[in-house]
Amino acid sequence: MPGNALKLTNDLSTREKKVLTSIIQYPSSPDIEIASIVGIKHSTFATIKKRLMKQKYFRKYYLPNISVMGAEIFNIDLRTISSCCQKESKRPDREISETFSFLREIPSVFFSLVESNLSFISSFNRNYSDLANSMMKFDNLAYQEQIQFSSHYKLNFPVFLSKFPRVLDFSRSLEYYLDESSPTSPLKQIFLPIDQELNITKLGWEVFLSLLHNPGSSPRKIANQLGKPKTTTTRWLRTFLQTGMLTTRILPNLGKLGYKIAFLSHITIMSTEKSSLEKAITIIDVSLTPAFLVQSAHDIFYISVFPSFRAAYEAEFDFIQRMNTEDIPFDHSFRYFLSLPHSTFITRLDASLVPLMNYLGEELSKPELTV
Amino acid sequence: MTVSIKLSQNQKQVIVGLLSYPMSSDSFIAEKLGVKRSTFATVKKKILEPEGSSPLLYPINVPNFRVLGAELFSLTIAKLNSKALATISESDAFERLQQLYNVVKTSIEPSPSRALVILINRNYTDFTIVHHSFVHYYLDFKLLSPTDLTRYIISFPSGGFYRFLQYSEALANIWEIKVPDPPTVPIFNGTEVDISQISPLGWQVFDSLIRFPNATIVDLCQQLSKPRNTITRWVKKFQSLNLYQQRYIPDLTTLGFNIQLIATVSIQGLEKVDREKIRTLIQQYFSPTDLFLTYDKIIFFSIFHDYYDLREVEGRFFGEMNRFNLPSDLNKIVMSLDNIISLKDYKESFSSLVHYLREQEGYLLKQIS
Repeated sequence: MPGNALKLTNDLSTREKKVLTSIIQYPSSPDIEIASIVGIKHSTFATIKKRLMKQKYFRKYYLPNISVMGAEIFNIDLRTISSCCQKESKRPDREISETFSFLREIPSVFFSLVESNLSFISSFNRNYSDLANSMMKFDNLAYQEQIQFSSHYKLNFPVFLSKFPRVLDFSRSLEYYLDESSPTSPLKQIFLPIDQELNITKLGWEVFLSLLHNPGSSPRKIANQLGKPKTTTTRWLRTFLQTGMLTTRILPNLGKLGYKIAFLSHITIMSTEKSSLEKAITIIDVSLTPAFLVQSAHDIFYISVFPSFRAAYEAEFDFIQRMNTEDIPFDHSFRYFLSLPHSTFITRLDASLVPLMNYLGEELSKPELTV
Repeated sequence: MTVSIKLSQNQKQVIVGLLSYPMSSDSFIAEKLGVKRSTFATVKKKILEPEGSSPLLYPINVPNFRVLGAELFSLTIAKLNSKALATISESDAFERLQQLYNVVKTSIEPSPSRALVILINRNYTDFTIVHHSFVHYYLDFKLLSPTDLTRYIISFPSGGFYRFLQYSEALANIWEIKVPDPPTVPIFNGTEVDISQISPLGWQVFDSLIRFPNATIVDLCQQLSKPRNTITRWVKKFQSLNLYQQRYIPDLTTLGFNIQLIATVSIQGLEKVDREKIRTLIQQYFSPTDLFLTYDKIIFFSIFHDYYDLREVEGRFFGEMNRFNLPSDLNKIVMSLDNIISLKDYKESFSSLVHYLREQEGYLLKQIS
């Protein structure tokens, strides 16, 4: 792993770093198991975890299984903003986030963020026609706000043909914190089809949406909100996690931890050999430590976070060297850097998942619910 | 090189009449054009079944893709590696392409080495499977570059399908023939129908209609060994469900058209009224044979006698766009019709397309090996 040049926050003690990285690596495991893996007493582990949560070093989310909900296309839309209503404002970041607030009107958006000259949208769409309508709506609203774009990259990944080995999975990114003896986090696909038939009742859907809408809430809190027994919400949560309807994610507070750069890139692997594609994915995972990685045939898109430009360049250099060593030809379609301190999330997960589920689930036998 | 023929005014009129009213009776068209019915019938016969030469028009029955469940129509324009194209046998390179049932047209222009591929897809996933196979062509044959593929995707439900194989207006304008009450040939619209109500025999009739657009009811009876009233009943049912449309395709090079324009105009972010204005101006000036709208582009095909004609029309179009203060970035590809090699055409591809669209479950899983 590259990155000797890293200078992450020193505010955390060695044990705190260990606890934080381990809960991100094993988001679904009980504390007692993780404590034993990292070799810390359970009670100490629980105390540190509670403290880190209180200090907002991480948040817990549940990611819904998009493929089961009927999404056909995962879309990446990346645009360079050539002009926006950036007057001589004292708070340009706030101004740009207000200008782009119309993105919240598009229910298919998964998460979106803007920086001073870049907008990034990821969305899950039921089909291409829906995607086209959303994009037209986006274009019209941007036009009304007098926003102009100088370049525009669109990438569509059919969910059925794609692999999502890392989705908002920061376990690799945080390995910078670990010493060399620490275990590495394996690639684990999510959004896989579910073989068994799920009979989700109206109450089940209510629990499902409440879990998405109230990230970090315990089954007890959800039960209180819905006015149902705790055993019911616990049972549904267990079912959702066991079947893959929900996946637990721990999202670190990147700003607090000192991450400053997000690196977004699309590469095309110029080989038809399956082994080359698999090797390429492994190399990306090892060198570029992506938090988001999606692959469909020859196309790979990833997002990695780094504490500095230098760390990002070093990681990319390492990636290129490894690809050359393995003799895997590839082509960079685009690569962009986002400054995280200057970026604003327009659509956050806690606000986007319920509208997204309602939009995707329209054709399922699921009542439209508001939480 | 194909030699173009000189046509009489009567022949031009009959060609425009047939292109304008492909599903109407001879007497109806003759009346519309103001020519005697017998004259019309004689000229029509010479056009469709000439002695010792190929027909100037050939009929085609176009299945209604949308009603049959297709979501997307797409054009892919690929830059080819001319060195690879010269050394490789076309049949080797494109044999696999022919097996893809959602590829309905493939044309190659050897110089300047590019290909136009048209696909009709049940969904985006199926489209991607075929697109991936194009990337395989590059990798296996070094024939094209995956980064030099330009794709335009038109969604049927979004209503972006305006014109398809409509040559009547283009030829009428160029030959200065007036058609009274010019018909608005319906585009494949309407909602999906329950095709499960079509029996296996019904599908046999439909398949024969698509395969043999020249065939009469009597021909179909003989082919399928079924009574005349059964065949007639099915054909009427397909017509009432708007399941297919008859069109005539002209032999453009013999008629003296040497240039085909494939152009795109950006409408990204424009208000609906401006989009409509640009579309109307394109229809008015270019008389497009095919016209599609994606969410950010208008795509159209037009034909011209020569490049001079194209430039003249283009100049007038830009003048009008400027007058209305509309953004005018016309991105164009000009192809020489005489130079085009057709590897797959609608005539042969629609039958297998119908089979593909009938498979209603799941995605096109049969990827190219």
